[in-house]
Amino acid sequence: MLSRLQKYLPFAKAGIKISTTYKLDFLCYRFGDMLEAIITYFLWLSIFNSSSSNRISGFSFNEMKLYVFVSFFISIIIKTGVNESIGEEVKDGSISIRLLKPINFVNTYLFTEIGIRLLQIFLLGIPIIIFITGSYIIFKIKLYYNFLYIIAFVISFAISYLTNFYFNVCVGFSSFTLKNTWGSNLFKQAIISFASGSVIPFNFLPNVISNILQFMPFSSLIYFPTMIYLGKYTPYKLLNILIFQIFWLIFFYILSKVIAKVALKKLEIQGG
Amino acid sequence: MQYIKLYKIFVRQYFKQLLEYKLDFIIGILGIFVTQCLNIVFLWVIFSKIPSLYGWNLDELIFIYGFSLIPKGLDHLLTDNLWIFAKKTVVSGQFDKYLLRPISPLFQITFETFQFDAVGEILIGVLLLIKSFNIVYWTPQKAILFILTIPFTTLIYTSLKIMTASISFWTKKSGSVMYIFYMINNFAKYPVNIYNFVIRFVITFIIPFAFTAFYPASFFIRGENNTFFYSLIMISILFFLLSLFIWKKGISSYESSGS
Repeated sequence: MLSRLQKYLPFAKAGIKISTTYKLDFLCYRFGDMLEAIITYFLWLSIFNSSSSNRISGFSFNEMKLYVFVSFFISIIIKTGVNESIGEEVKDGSISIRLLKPINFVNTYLFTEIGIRLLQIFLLGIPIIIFITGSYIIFKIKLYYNFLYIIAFVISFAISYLTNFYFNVCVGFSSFTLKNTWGSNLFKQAIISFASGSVIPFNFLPNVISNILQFMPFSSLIYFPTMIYLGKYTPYKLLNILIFQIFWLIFFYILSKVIAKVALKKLEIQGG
Repeated sequence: MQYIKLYKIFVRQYFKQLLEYKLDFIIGILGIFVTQCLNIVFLWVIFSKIPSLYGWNLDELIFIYGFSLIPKGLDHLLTDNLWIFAKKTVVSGQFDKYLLRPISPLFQITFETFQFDAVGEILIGVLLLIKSFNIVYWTPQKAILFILTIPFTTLIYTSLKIMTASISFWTKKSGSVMYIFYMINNFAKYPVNIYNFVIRFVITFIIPFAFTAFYPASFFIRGENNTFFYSLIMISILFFLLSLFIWKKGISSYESSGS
């Protein structure tokens, strides 16, 4: 097991190097994204101020605030460029270099990305954790979580990351015929940001839609980890959710294998 | 005259590309369309919980939102190449080729691509404006003002993009800076009174995106901010001149990145 992992270590190291080279760029772009979260924050602030009750659809303003920033943090960390990398490498043929190596080529992407993320989690995570804990102490918000919830959150977050990764491997292999990846990405992004609960918590939607969205795989990406962080579930429900998340992860893992196999069979690379 | 002729060629070139990648084009438009629609769903869900947002009702918010998409979409349609410039043209050394041609480099850079995807933004903007058409008490004067407002609001977007793109003359790349400034436009989609003082100050006086949507829209809806039109003209032209100045400065200190 260890020696198997060792083979992928260089890819993770390369990822770390990539992210140190572009760290300023990365921070600038994420700061731009952060503005969106700030707008959402003010929007919710005014919504709660305009409402006659303190809680809307079971959320207090403090919970909503956490929801906005935690879901934003998760959405940034689980972001992946694997679909674009696959698309480009299939188009220009450089994927053949990966295929020639005697290792699982999807894992090479995965480990490079994990390397990239490590520094990014560090860069973003620390200020955000300080901000959140600080707001706990300053505003004296009840601390919901105990050890169990923290562990559950970390597991749920990790599953969320992997689910999104394998989902994007599927996307990468099924859409490399498109040239305008910008448009299709936007399309995908819009659907997912809604279906994952990052635009609005499902609790605000009509019951039927909320239930449908919770059973779809994308709820696993942002909604569940964030709600676990907020301590909204009983331990029993928590376990069910983690099992549900694992189910979709396995589903996309297998699906990505199938799609990759089919796509690579059809792959023709000219020249070299 | 020569410039108009050239622009026609750019557009024709783009349509040739379009015909080759029809599916991509449809997906691009659809992508923008769906993104904006889901934001409206968000507003709609919210308004099922509260009667009004600091005195603004749903139709009014939809009008402001729709209005904000028009200049955004127009700028996106016409000057999208500035993004490419900020991200790679200087760093890859391709800027040299623009300098060799006997036409203003800024003109070439700005208008080289014609980004038809932006039709998605314009389309949904128009649809939202039509939907909330009734809330404005239209007079001929207001209608004329409405049409006159659009080029100036678009100019604010373009000027800001030229300014931030110019930074890459010094730093080789400025896509990320451009992204930060560009994203501030999203603040303009909602009434400014939901924000705190600092943000209101910034989007009114420093990066004046509030003039691209909220101030004009609130004038049309409520007749508030009567003087918005004069300030809009002044600010957008000032901003444009400033962007030209920064571009000139930048181009004079440009050093090719080689090869």
